[in-house]
This record gives sequence, C-alpha cells and structure tokens, in this order.
Amino acid sequence: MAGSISGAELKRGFALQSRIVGALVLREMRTRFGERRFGYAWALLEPLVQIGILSGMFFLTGARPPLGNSFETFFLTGFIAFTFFRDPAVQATNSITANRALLSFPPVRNMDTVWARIVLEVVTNVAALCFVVLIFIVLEIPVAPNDPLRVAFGLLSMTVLGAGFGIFNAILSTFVRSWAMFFGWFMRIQYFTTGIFFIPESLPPLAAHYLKWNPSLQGTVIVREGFYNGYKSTLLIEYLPFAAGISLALLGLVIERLYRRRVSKL
Amino acid sequence: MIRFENVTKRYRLKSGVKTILENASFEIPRGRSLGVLGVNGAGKSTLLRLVSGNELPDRGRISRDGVSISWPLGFAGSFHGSLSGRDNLKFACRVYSRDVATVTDFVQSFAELGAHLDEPVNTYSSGMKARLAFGLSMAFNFDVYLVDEITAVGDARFKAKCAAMFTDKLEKSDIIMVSHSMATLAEYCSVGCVLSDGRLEFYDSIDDAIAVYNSLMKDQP
Repeated sequence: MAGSISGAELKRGFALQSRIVGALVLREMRTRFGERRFGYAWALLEPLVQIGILSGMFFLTGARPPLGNSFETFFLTGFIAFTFFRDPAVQATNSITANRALLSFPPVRNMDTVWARIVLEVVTNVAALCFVVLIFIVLEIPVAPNDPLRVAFGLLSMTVLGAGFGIFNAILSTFVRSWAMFFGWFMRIQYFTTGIFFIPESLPPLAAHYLKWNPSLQGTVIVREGFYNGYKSTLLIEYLPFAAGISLALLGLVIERLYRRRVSKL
Repeated sequence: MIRFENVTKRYRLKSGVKTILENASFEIPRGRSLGVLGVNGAGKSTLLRLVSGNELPDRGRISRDGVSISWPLGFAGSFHGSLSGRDNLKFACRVYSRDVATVTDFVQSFAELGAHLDEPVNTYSSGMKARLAFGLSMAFNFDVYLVDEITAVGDARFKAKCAAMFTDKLEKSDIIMVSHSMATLAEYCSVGCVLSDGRLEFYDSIDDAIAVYNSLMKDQP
C-alpha cells in the first residue's frame, strides 16, 4: 500500500474493524457456547472442578501447600493464571483455518477472527474468575488477595502471553497444517511447567535455573506475589511473559504481512 | 470508480506459474454492466475476487473510491452451518452495518424459507442455501454486484422471480458478470472485456467482446 494514510482514514478503518470484530465475537459466542447446552457452564465450572480434584489429591498426600495454608487457594491462583494464558492461545490457534467460510465476506479480514476469539476468551476468563471467587466466598475458603492490582497485572501478563501465542499460532497454522497438534502437546507440557502445583523456589536448583525462563511460570509468580502477603520471588523475571507474548505476536504479524498477498483469503 | 493500477497477480501451481494479470492498469466503467470473458483458467473468477477484495494483488493497487461492492455471488459459502439462517443474516448485517429487521424482512419474503429461517443452515438443501445467499445480497443494495457463473436456483417460478429482481437491480446497480453462457452475458451486460495472457482488453459492446472471445476459442487446441 503506497502513500501515507491520514488520521481520519485510520480512525474510519479502526471503527470498521472493531465493528466487524464485535460481530464476530457475538457469532463466536453463538457457535461456541450456544449449540451445546452446557457449553458456557463448563467454561465457568472448569476451574472449580480442576481446583477440587487437585486439592483432593494433594490433601490425601498429607503435604502442605508451598504458600498459605489452603491448597484450594494455592491451586486457584495457579489454575486461573494458567487459563488466562491457555485459553486465548488455544482458541485463537484455529481461528483463521476454521473460519474460511465467513472470510468470503470481503470486509472480514483474517486477523479479525483472531482478535474476536481473544476478546471472547478474555471476557469468559474474567467471568469464570468472578464465579470461582464467589464460590470460594460462599465456602469460606480464603480468597482475598493481598494486592489486587498486582494480581491483575499478573493475569494481564498471562493474557498478553496467551494472545501472543494465539496470534502466532493462527498465522502459522495457515502454512503448517499440523501446527495446532504440536501446540497441543506443548500445552500439555505447560500444564505441568506453568507452576499450578509449585513455586520456583521449591524446585531443585537445576530445575529452577531452567524453568524460570518459562514465561508462563513467571506470570503465575506475579499473580501469587500479588495474592500472598510476604511472598517475593527470588527468581522473578517480570518482563518475560510480556516480552515473549509481544515478540510472538509481532513475529506472527510480520509473517502475515509478508505472505498475505500470496496466501490471501480462501 | 474501480481502478486497477499496475496490478500483477500470479498463481504458483505445481505445473508452473500462472499469470492472471501482468502489470495491468485499467478502470472499470460505472453505469454499465460488464461481462468478463476468457478461456478456462484465464483467471476470471480471480479477477472478480480481486475486485471484491477477497484476494489481494501480488503487486499494484486497487482502489474502489467508496463504491460498495458485493462478494462474488453464486456460491453460498459465507454461511455458518450450525447457525440458523436468521443468525447468519444478523452477522452479515453487523459486518455491513445494515438494519437487521429490514434485511430479515426482505430475505424472508424473497427467499421463501418460511420456518426454516430459524433452523441451522446445515439442514438446508443447496437450493435453500442459494436462495438465502441470493436474497441476502439483493437486500444489501450494493453499487456493484459481482456475479460468478450464477446458477439458477429453484423452480421456474422462482427463477423468474430472481431474473425480475436482477433486472430491477440493474436500474441502480452495475453488474460485473462471469459466465460461460454467451446468451446470459448478452442479456445482462452492455460492455465486455476479455481476459487472456495476463491482459484485460475492454470492448464498448458485449457483442464485440463475444466475437473476440470466439476467435480466441478457435485458436485453442
């Protein structure tokens, strides 16, 4: 595209694209959650089920949680942080390849479907978080964070990381068909390395030395630093989830820019 | 005005590179309907998809100057199978910022789907899908309609209804049409162009374009 773009043009383009992303979000809600009766209910219940199972298992071992006194609370912080990373990443991965049909409306761009899925996942995750917190309050399990802003900052870092993966995956999937499968394996490993079950300080030094470079583990650490009074990680690399997420997103967007003319829309 | 400036479009196929347009500059005239001719594989459908913006050129620029252009009609691929016809209409209205109620009313009376409008689209017959798609595009009042080998849908009465609607549209809108039927092109189009070897040649009358196309066909092995 040659020539410069005026501010008014940019504004108009942005308004158009956000309207289309909005339309896609509403449509995704219908197709993702509408046809299965328990679709949205499961999205809200999954953290509770996971936390319940994990807490039960660890309770039986007789161990004590690495932070605080409650396994439920420890897994809540870990698993919620994990979903903020996992969901945008996984759901955005096949957003372009699965939406070929609606891309035949010329105003709908490939990237709009990616943004729509990310927006929907963030909204869903926030709703699930509120639901879990409500249940914890009802059950009188400790759930009040020491520093809510720092918790929010940690969840933001996980969202940026997840969105970065999602954008990168969505674009790579249009070239490499089996990419979604490889990413599935990667996420299964991440379930164990994100720090749902542990804090990096309690790992053997060698494991901690390498695992601290896992961006999603750092996001979990930030969330727990905000949640637990007195927890300051000695292994914190605060910029890592942001840097990784933004780099992946930029890499994906550059690939899209370079190849959009060749791949274009189908 | 739809303007192509130095547009190049190629396809990489297993058998080599196929050139659709080579550094082509032209304006598509408004106010008259255009028939696009060319031998099989010349890239007529790709040309329509470049005009609509479904596809981007390898090089060059296509400007549309606020002219509203339809998606290439003739296939019903834009619908989500698990959503109802009504929800699909809603989505399209949001994308094109049209009034949902007006469009739904129009399509409901035109496409004759009755209660099926609230059923998922993947339960529709291909004829029903085509009627929904055709009705939707007619409801949107585009400045330019792109028609890719429109296949007549439904029974004789419905075909007549479509033809009448189409003729009606021609009063205010232009059509850019790809068809293998010379009779159809001659019926709807006044001017023509022939796509061949990466070049697009315009003719002031559709009959001239058809004559050139016929001589091209004779040269084909």
